[in-house]
Amino acid sequence: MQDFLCDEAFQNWVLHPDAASDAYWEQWMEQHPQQRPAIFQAKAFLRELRFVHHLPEEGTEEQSLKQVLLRIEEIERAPVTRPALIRRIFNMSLSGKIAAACLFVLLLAGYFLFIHPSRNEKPQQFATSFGKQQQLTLSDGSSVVLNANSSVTLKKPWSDNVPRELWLTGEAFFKVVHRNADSTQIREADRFLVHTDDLTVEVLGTAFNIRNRRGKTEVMLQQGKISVRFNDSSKAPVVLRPGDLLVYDPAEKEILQRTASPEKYVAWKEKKLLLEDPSVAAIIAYLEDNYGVTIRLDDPQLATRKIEGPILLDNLEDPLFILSTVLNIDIQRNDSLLIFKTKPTKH
Amino acid sequence: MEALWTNISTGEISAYEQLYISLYKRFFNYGRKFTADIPMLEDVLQEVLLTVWMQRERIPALQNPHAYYFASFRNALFARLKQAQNMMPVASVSEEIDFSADHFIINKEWNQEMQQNLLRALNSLTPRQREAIYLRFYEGFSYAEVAVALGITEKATYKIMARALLQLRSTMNLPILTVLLLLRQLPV
Repeated sequence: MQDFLCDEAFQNWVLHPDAASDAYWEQWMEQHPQQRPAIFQAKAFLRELRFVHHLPEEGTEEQSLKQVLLRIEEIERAPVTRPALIRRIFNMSLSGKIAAACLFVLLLAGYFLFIHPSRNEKPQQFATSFGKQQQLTLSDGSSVVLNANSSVTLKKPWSDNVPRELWLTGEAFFKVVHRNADSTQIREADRFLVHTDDLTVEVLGTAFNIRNRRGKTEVMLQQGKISVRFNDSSKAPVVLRPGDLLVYDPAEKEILQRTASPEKYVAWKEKKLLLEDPSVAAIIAYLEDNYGVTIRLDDPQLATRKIEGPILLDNLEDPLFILSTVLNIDIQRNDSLLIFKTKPTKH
Repeated sequence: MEALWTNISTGEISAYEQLYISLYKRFFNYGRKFTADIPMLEDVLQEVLLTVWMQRERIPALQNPHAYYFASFRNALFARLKQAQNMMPVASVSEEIDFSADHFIINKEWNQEMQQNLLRALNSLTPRQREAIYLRFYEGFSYAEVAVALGITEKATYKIMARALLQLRSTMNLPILTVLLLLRQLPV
């Protein structure tokens, strides 16, 4: 017996039925009435094969198109095989070449004399206050976006022969540049280490987010691969792949590891708050951590309400406005203490 | 779609822009089944979609530009994923690039046992079988197009698909109508 499931014409009828195919299969069933149940089952089976939709973040496709159109414009305007500067040096007279060589040596010397960081610098710290974010570019070209109320410290200046190391409190997003272009020969010193109170994230070149708040550390990997070591040596190191989330709370026995959507964990960089569990309690915790306020609810029930969708975080007023409208509350401010009061319901 | 490709091959940039937006979303959705690394996806997407324009003169010679570029996207993405595996700080066995069973939608309202049966059935398929089903039933590709995208023959494609569908049904060991109700679209 023919299995309808696997027949292309049958599948097409299920996927894109039209008058002609309808007529064909109607007639077919009339001729083979005993096959009718099998047809219905196969039809329903195929129709119900469903997949998760993964949509890019809003506007990214337009953004991407813009970038590509610029690239096309550049390529079409200058169809050059060799970069212009190198070509110009090639075409120079001999004296010109000597002058260019001298200039290069001078620039190199200048770099080492004046710009190259000296070996005995003190620890360097970058910190943000409540409600502020900061973007840093490190000496190796890696970048760090520091969320509010956070800091990174370099205990000693970096050099090429030892791994790059820094210490984090609070939350930051890292985009680490790989030191070694040759991925087949990886050296110890190519590693990049981020320490928090309880763990160390070890990477080569990748992008990830660390949130170290309220005694808990959450590591979300966006790109590449990383390994996480724990100060508690009884815990084995864990390797994360893109989309993996690790939650470590030294007070808990279990280390939680699961897949999550990286989009949500890095939304704060775009001044948006997107939580996997968008409960009022979680939103409040985030606002307290990042804006240095204390929030009290006059009705504890409020904490379990959920607010779906991104919340704009340009400043503290934005999320407070959304909370007050959605929850129908008044917010009383007393310095850094905020009290959420339920509005009396109208009759 | 046909007309878009023709207009691009004659140098019409507005047709290219239109195709870009539509393919971007489809490639993103497809690529996201293999990796959650969004910056990497963006990189690969730009490279492949840039080639569509730069090599537009070749389009008329392609039998099926649509499936052809799905294949280029897939190849470019797999090459990048393999490269990323080598960038690993810790020595590890190289893993297969996997179209995970998680990307099928399972009705969460059903009882635990039924959900687990279905998950087991989906897991028993090979990544390639899952991918073929995706291209055929989500992208609406013909068998010929699936073959081009996966870089195999049409006959092999048909075999992969038939085996997958029949296996899915038999592993379930449940009346087929129950299976159907388990696989149901949910908003994400």
